[in-house]
Amino acid sequence: MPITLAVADWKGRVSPVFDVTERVRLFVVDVDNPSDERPVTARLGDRSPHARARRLVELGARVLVCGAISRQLQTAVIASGIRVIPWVSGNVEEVVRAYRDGALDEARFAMPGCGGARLRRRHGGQRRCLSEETEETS
Amino acid sequence: MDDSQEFQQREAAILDSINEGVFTVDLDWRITAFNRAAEQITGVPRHLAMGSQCCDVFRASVCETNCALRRTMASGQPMVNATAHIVNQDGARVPIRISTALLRDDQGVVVGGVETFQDLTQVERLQKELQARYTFEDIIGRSPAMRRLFETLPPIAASSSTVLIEGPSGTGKELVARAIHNLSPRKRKRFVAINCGALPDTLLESELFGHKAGAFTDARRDKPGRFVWADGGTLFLDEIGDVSPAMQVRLLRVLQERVVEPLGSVQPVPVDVRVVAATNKDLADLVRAGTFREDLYYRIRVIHLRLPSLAQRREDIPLLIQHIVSKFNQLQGTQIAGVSDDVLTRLMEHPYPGNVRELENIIEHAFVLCQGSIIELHHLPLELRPSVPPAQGELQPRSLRAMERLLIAETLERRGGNRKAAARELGIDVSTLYRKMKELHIQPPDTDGRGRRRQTRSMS
Repeated sequence: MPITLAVADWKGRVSPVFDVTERVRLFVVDVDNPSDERPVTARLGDRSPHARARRLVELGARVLVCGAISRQLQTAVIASGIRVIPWVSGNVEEVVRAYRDGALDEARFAMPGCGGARLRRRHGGQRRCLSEETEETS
Repeated sequence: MDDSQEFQQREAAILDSINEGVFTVDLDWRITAFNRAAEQITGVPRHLAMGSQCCDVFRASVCETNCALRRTMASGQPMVNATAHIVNQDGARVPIRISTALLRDDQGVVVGGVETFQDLTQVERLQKELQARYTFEDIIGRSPAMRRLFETLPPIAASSSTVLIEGPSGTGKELVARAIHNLSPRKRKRFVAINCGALPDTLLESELFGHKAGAFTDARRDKPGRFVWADGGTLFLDEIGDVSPAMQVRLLRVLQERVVEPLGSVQPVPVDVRVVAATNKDLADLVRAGTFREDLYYRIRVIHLRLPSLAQRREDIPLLIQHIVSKFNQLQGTQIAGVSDDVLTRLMEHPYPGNVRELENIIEHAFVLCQGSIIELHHLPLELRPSVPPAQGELQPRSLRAMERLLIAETLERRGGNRKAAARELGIDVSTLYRKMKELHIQPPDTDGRGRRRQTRSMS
């Protein structure tokens, strides 16, 4: 079933801080039937957490892939029914391909210090960036 | 270990000893050095930061749109103390202050940039704590006089005694009255304010005590007075020193009997009102002069508060400026950061006959003219701008020499050019004044104090 994936975009890379990202690129992703549908770019506007979450809902996003994100904003987006995959870095097209292939958890797509899937585990419903040092001691 | 390794180790040890976060980047924005404080603030270990894109490690609010380092690389100019926030590993927003500079090799060729940043979390927390400590129900101040006032307000509010607030215009008498109401058990009922000096007697009587339909021409309906309106709450009688003797008698009766008689009614209405009265006059003087009833005076001054003028609490001026600037920023949607050092110096020395209200008007005026982020001298009202232009080769505006020059020039101006009077006011000899005027290139005003006095004498 196709879903709309929103990726925080800054010059073709995943934007480093979603709280101040100006636009997202929207990809319609169907894991079973890959298509060549071109992505759409949309501006996010207002930077308040609830306005950002509302805007993503308006855009029909079901999953958000982004870089760093503050706790308040992540909570607001999750509360809007959108899955958040944070602490991701790299080229947007490659990130989307990795999402399709189920390879987004690879360490090369993690922001420095945020490890891979093993280290971006869920903590109370939110994915947190855990450094290797944090993981070892926890 | 060769020389270059030794040099690198020494460099790393120096960087690690600094409390501020420091990182360097090459021309591809990849991190080439990352000190221990940077690890602590960002939460990213050094070995993972090295070689990564700086924006993926730093994660600052300015990275995308207003990167300080990018601006420095483009302009060649260092940036000092820009503010931003980063999102750390826990998803917390950390306020930071950033400075940047270029890195050059031995030949002076730019090879990258260096960014230093300081975690302001603690500073912001302390600032908020201080702000809370120096703010009391919208009243701002950290001077001893204001802190004493803050300490006395809660017990005053807890009682139901009548309060007299004396203080010059613009010192915040109504703010204090509101604070007393807000802190009192009466806070859920009304706070009703009336300016007794603004209304003629007949109107004031009707406003305070109300009237019955038909009590006078045009009184078509019953109207409850402010006393009844404030029942259970607080009535603020501003400019109490301006009420007529007849009205004083009526007020005295209400305060004694706790009943009001609306105009045209024979039925007294009981009221439970706390009265807070205020005046910019010295009521004791009015009592001595026989224009204010002594019995009413003692009835209203059960608790007596005297508010200091702004000139008596100059140390509060910077705090008040900060408060007024953020208030106007909120009201007008602007982002003015504050006032320049010159403006602060000028505002600190102004006499403020209109007290805090005058300071507020000055800042409001500056907000209209200020298009940038800092209020400068030329944004102030004309009368507050320096009367003397800076001398040739003037030192820094805040130097002791510049301050001395300004002070002497203004005193001479104020004294109409009379050197003797100016010297007396400044606490120096006339000969010292002449010497300083020469040294600091101060031209005396066109009018000469002595000449004018001679002229006046000859005219009289």
